[in-house]
Amino acid sequence: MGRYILNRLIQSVPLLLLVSVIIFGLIHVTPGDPVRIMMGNESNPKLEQAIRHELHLDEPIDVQYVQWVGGLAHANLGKSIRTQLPVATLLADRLPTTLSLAFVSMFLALAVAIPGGVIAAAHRNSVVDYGSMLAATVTWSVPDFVVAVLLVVVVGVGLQWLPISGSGNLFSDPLGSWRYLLMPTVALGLSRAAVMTRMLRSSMLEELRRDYVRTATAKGLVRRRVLSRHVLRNALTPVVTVAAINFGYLLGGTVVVEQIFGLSGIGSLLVDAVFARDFPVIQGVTLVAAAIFITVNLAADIAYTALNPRIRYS
Amino acid sequence: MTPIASVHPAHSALPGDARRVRSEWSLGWRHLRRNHLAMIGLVVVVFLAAVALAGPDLPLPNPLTQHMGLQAAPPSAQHWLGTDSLGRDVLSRLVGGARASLSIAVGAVLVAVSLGVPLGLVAGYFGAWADVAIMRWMDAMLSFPALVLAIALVASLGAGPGSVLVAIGFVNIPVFARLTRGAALAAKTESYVEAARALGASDARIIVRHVAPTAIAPVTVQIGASFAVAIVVEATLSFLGLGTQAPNPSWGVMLNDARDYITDAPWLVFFPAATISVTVLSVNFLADGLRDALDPHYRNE
Repeated sequence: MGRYILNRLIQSVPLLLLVSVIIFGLIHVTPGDPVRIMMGNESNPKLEQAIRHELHLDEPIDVQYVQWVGGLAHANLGKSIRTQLPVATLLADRLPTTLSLAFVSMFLALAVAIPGGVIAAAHRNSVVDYGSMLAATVTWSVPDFVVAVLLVVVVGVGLQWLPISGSGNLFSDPLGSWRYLLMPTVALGLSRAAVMTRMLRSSMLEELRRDYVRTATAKGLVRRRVLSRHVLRNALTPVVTVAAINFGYLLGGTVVVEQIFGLSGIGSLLVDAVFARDFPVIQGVTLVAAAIFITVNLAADIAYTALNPRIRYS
Repeated sequence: MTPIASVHPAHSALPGDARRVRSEWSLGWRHLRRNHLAMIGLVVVVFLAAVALAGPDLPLPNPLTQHMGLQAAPPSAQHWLGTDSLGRDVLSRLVGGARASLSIAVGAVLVAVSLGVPLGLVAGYFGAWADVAIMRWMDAMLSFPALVLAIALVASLGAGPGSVLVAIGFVNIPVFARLTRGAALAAKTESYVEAARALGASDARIIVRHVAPTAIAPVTVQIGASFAVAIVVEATLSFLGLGTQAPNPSWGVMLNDARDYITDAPWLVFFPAATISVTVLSVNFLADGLRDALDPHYRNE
């Protein structure tokens, strides 16, 4: 197991390098001079030159890349052009909010998807199955930001049950934050609940076709027990992988949800940076989002191996 | 050359086989036609596409014309869905938004397919270093949350509908590359590919005539799914102010503007919200139907 984890860690090094090249390329290879884009309609050659120097854009591209990656190794993500604060500090301040959102949303989504998928598969081709699958498709089709706006309109402004904005940090205020986190996480988690319900239903159906299910039924086990003892246990293992993939979606989704509910996480940091054309911050947020996603996937792979004794990676 | 006749062309050399091959697709269509939800989806999608195409020729007020004194008016005989905060006709703006949304989604999927499919074919068919070189890049692109990568791309290209199209297309390349690679890996071990090679066909010819057609069905299914995602991402980016710019109409922009008037003019929130949701739902119904009809794995489920 330890060896497998080590191998997977080593494998992610080239992946991280490619990821860094993509992020570096965002600012350097894309058509259009980033400094010109930053300046907008202004014309100030002196300031342009200063920004160019600040971002090391006046040096050869390979030198720039090495400098940038070298900085990353020391957790130096550069300085925000707009606020002059270190990007790493900005990220550290904002990350807890975004992670709270993503984790709570994932928890809510799984709390719906696991029973939902099991019930739909157990009653395959029944009204319950069709009804829940239709509900899942409908839910899945309403974009997060539409759900968020509708929640603000109905629950926040109409019924006035919950505050429509305010900071929700699960880590610093676990009990008080739920009022602020509930609407954003429902908005974010709803579509994932739908997607994962559908996925879990198909993985249950896949398991139901297997020989061991026939054997268990043939030896006289009641259906409920076949489902709970045999099928669910095997069908739940892929949920780990599915949850990890959907975690990336949640990280992306926080951008728009943070914006709507006025939460200051890395998503709203990204949007602000885009409007301010603050490229070091854009690169920093993109890098951290990718790093978190890669870590979560790695953790899921390891958990999957631990959960499934049939699979031993070499 | 229709795609229908070109599935497994090597088979069509055998008498009677061309008909069997064609029946794969007509079987799929028969399956799709019996799927009520997919048919509802198809009708709505065709209707939206027709409205979007007809756009400026429809007998509707100009979506940019502001009527002072008629701001945020409720639905009426003149303005069926009311007017927005600047007195512009909501229905006209929804139609304009359909043009923006559908054309960007179509363009983005075209970008993703036209780059992802060739990359997948080359990776799967040639294997070895070509496979490693291409697929490692695809994995790296998939390591980003898609929306974050799209936003970062739009940022470096400059906000606007063109950048949104490119960004959504770019982010979707790996999905098509992976899918096509899988189909190519399976096809290249088939005996008809070996036969073609023995007959002296070039790699390019084998890929185009014998390998690529096997990817048509899975790629068609994925196009449906990606189209729905593209519509959502386009609406999200324009909601954030990164896509279609004011005063041009876009569903995301309309919904964002409406947030300031939720107490006084709730229909301003309702109509764009409903339009986006119904559009995505219809595309999803159609995409699910396509998958059920074309993917043998799902055909009997």
